[in-house]
Amino acid sequence: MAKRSYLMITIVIITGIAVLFYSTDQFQAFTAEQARRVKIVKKAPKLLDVAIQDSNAEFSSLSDYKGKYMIATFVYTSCGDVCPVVEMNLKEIYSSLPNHLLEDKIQLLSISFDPKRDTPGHLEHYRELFQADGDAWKMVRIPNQQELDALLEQTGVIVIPTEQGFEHNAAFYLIDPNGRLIQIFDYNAPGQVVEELKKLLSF
Amino acid sequence: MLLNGWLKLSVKGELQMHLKLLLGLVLIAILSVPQVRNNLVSTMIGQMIIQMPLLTVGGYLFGVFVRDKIGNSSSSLNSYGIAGLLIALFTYIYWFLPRSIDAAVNNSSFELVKYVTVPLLIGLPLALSWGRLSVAAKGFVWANVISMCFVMGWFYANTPVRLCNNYLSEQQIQLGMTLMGISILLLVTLFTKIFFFGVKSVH
Repeated sequence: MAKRSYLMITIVIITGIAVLFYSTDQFQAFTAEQARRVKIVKKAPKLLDVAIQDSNAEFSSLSDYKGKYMIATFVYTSCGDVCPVVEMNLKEIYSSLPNHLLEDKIQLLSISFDPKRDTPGHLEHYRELFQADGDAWKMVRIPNQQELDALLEQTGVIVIPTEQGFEHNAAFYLIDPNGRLIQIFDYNAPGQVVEELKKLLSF
Repeated sequence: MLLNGWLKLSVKGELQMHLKLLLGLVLIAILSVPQVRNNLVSTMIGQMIIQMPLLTVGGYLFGVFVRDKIGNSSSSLNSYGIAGLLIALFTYIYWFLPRSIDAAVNNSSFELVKYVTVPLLIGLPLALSWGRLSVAAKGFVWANVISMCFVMGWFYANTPVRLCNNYLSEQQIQLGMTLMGISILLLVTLFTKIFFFGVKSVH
């Protein structure tokens, strides 16, 4: 084969791999969803201090949890397929964490993006369903629609109303003690969340 | 094939060449008509099994014109056709990434780039390179195309993750099944050709 051909082949291979490397965020993001996550985590946005209402109808705000690592999920209680899986996996995380850390250093929040239907009563029922203690693991809603929309935008949660309810992406969102979203985990990989917390809190 | 035979019979040399070019351009023009494009892009199968291959065919015809025009004597850059094949491969991989599939739907600049690069970087190089490949190389390519097609189809049909934001899971599964079906069809066609017509007929 002519030498120039070898050169051409080499150039093509290098260029090809470079283009793929660049366009997949260094082979991390092959889907638009992965790309979104990579972008958000790079930015590590400080989350808006939204008003939250829990299943006991008590109000608080997101900044009340400063100083703790937070794991959040975005769900709605009438969800039939994805949310139950997400919450079951969140329960697995919950059971894997040592109690003393759950009291002081870690907060689990299941946040409903359907505040109209998910009243504190519904949230309470949901809490019982997954045996969340309502303290270290709270089921909450964000009553103010604008605040909710802003938070969903920050975290890259996309919610599309459909006939049955909502079409939405799902994940575990890790927020640091300063209120910054620092990592997004696959909702099918609760183990990864625990591993990360182990590293961060050395246990 | 049929079209080639008709062309050879009824028109001569230069005209034949230009007709192929025209055909390629008309094909791409038709695919660019907004109604046609929107229709195709509304399903995953439409986009990946009809739009993209047809764009490739358009480029291929253009490539045949170029090849006949400049004469297919051995170019030292693309001897044995490998460089061209690799260009086609990398471009193909790029446009088959789920995030590219999404981008082509959402972003008109991406779609434009697709309409330019698929014919010019997949179809055209294939036209210039296929004739130069040895029988062994052609066999290798076919074997890989068939198995890649099958594996991708299986993956798209079976992965629990919805890969594209623009298409529902159902679309994804349909695409996967279709890809698997196509790969089996290709396999059968290939074997039929080899066993009935001998290896040389593999083209």
